[in-house]
Amino acid sequence: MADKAGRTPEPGVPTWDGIARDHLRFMYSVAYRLAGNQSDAEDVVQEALLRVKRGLESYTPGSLQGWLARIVTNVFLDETRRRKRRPQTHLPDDPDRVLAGAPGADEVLAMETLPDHLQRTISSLPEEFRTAVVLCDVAGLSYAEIAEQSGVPVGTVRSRIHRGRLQLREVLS
Amino acid sequence: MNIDDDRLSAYLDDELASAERDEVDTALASDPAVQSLLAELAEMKAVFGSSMIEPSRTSINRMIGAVERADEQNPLAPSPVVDSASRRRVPTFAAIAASVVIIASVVGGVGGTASIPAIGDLVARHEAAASVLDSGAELAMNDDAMHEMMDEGPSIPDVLDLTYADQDGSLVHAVFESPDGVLLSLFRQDGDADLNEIGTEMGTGEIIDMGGHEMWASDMGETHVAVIDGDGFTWTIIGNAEADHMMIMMSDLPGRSPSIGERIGDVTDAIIRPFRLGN
Repeated sequence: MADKAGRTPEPGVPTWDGIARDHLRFMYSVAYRLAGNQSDAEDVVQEALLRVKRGLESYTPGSLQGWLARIVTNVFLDETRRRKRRPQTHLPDDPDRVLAGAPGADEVLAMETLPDHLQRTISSLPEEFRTAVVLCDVAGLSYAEIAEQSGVPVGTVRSRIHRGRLQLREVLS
Repeated sequence: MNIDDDRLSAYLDDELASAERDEVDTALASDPAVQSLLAELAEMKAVFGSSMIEPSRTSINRMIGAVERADEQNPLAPSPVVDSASRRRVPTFAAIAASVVIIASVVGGVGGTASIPAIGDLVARHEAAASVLDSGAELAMNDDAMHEMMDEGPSIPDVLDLTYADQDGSLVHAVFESPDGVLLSLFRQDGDADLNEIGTEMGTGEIIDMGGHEMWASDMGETHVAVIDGDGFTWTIIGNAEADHMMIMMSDLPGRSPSIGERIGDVTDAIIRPFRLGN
């Protein structure tokens, strides 16, 4: 079946519409766990969706959620590095966001139902620990996949996950 | 087995080989503290793993709407949020392959010569990174290399965005993008290069006196290379812009020099300091 743009996908290659429909919640969860707040998570997912849309041709059939999680994480890390290097204030480019005013009722409901204590805890982790734990526990990636994503040996991933969990345990207790 | 033993998390994640798994099983069978810790870790993993976050309908519409608008307005333009490697188009790099082959044959291929730097190797690394970025795929950033280049390296102008960093032994490789779409690689190697030897081996380029230090530069078709040595390091810049343009970008000069050698005083003054060659 062709997508909105009239393109017929290759067998085994998902469509962007399908990803936006079926996997956006997953991408948002990973982004929120990494970024720690709704606004930054939206920005990360928005950029990730754009990369997905423009990079579908390079997708090789395999773990779709693993691929999406890697893209979301790359966007998050790119933006984190950018902010570290060059603190700056961005002008909003979406007029809806400038003039939005009070959040809609569904946004209030969504914000109120977020498990804030969990997020505060995981946000307290150093970035490399947080990324490793989120990719393992939220995105479900293997240690080898996380190592490839992070550019570090599997042993480092194993250490980061364990140390991250120990810190989470300490905060939660 | 103590609390810091990361085999416990690996056990929980089913990431242990059988021998290590047996060791953890033995510890679990004999140590209640290990059992308790494993149970706590398992509970945390379950909680985090099951806590999907539902974006609001407004939020979904906002995200998808922004992506569709960005894609419709200009499929190759930067997205409204952040720059993206997947958006980058570097059409010249498709043409670099031939020059890489030529360069590699001159230098003797990767590892074919002990000179610093092996230009063919560096060009091949640059081309490989650029090709991956151009395809829209992702490159994993090596955090150690990133910090090495950003914290210990030259003063990178803010106008350049770091896209990728990696390290292979003492060779540190970082890829930057300029606002006008130039993708350039900056390599740092230990040791001082023999620029005359590079010129002889490559059979091209020129050596420019930069006030006591020298730079070898060459424009090879679509690929442009500049090498500076001194202070125990050799810096090589490779990209799809003329060498002097890349040097000016690296030194944060406002304008573009029309050719190597012109404005060399400005370039020298701006480059020597960030590259710590004159100290």
